[in-house]
Amino acid sequence: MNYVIIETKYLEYVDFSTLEEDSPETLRYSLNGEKFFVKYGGEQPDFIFNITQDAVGLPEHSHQEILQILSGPEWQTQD
Amino acid sequence: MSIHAHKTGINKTTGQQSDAIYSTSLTGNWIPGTGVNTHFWDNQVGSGKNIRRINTVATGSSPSHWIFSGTNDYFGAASTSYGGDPFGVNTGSAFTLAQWFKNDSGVVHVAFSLVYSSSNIMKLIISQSGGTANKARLTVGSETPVEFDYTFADDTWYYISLVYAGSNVWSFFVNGSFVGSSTISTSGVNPAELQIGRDAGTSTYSGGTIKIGHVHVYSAALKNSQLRQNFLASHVINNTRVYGATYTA
Repeated sequence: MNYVIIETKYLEYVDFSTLEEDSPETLRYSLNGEKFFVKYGGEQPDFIFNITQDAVGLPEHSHQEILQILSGPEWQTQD
Repeated sequence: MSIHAHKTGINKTTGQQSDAIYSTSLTGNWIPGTGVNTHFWDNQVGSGKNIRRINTVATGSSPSHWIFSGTNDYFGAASTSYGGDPFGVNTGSAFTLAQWFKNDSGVVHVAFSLVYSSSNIMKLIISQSGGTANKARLTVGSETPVEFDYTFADDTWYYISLVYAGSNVWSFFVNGSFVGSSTISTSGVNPAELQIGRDAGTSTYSGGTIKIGHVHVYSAALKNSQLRQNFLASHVINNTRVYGATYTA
């Protein structure tokens, strides 16, 4: 599984038929609500290239990498 | 001279294996691999409402169980096309929440979360950040959290139960044995949405090595003997049956 972080302002670009998530309600957002991430198998879905307007796409993360990111203060309340 | 002892009688006095879970006031009975397990998890109680499998919680086998990814998957409210009407708990009266889970030392597990309202959440979390590793901590709304005095071992399955007996009294049991109780002020609602694997109040999800098995919900406060019956009904010590000491799933 691969993971990409997207700014919430691009939510309308998301094609949920290409993702493990199926709706905006089941996405996990950053604590400030400005970002969310999606997960998928294989290549980056086409809608991501519509967001970036290039052929590069967004930085892709492995499971271990996204876990590291999600443990940070941007995504999880720190007690 | 011979002595005849009725087989059942001996079993009763030495502690027999329970064959079935306690069924009175049972409102939720979820068994991995039984019934529908695709977009939702099928409640085995007749006409019981389901819980939704959100973002594809992974399945494990031999026998069936669930594995969280630690990213954004959990069990939550069912909806149209995803299990139908959502399952809820009447938190204005007594209730019991119970589940099998496999502890991984220090890894967070959101065992239960009940949504009383968007700003009033009940949650039972193992190894919660800010708490003690391998202990369960109960938070009800904005009240001061309570940590129960039981240390979970690494890589081991447990049958945990949270019992609300009414009148603000909460109790915690492990494998059917009483651990502790506390009085925490609460104002119940009906229904409160049940979530497993996600703290509805923060962005905390169960860790990627946490596994869960059977889940039971009752609209009554079960006693330790009844919880022990449930524990025994799905457990054989020193056996490879589900959740036994040598069960390695």
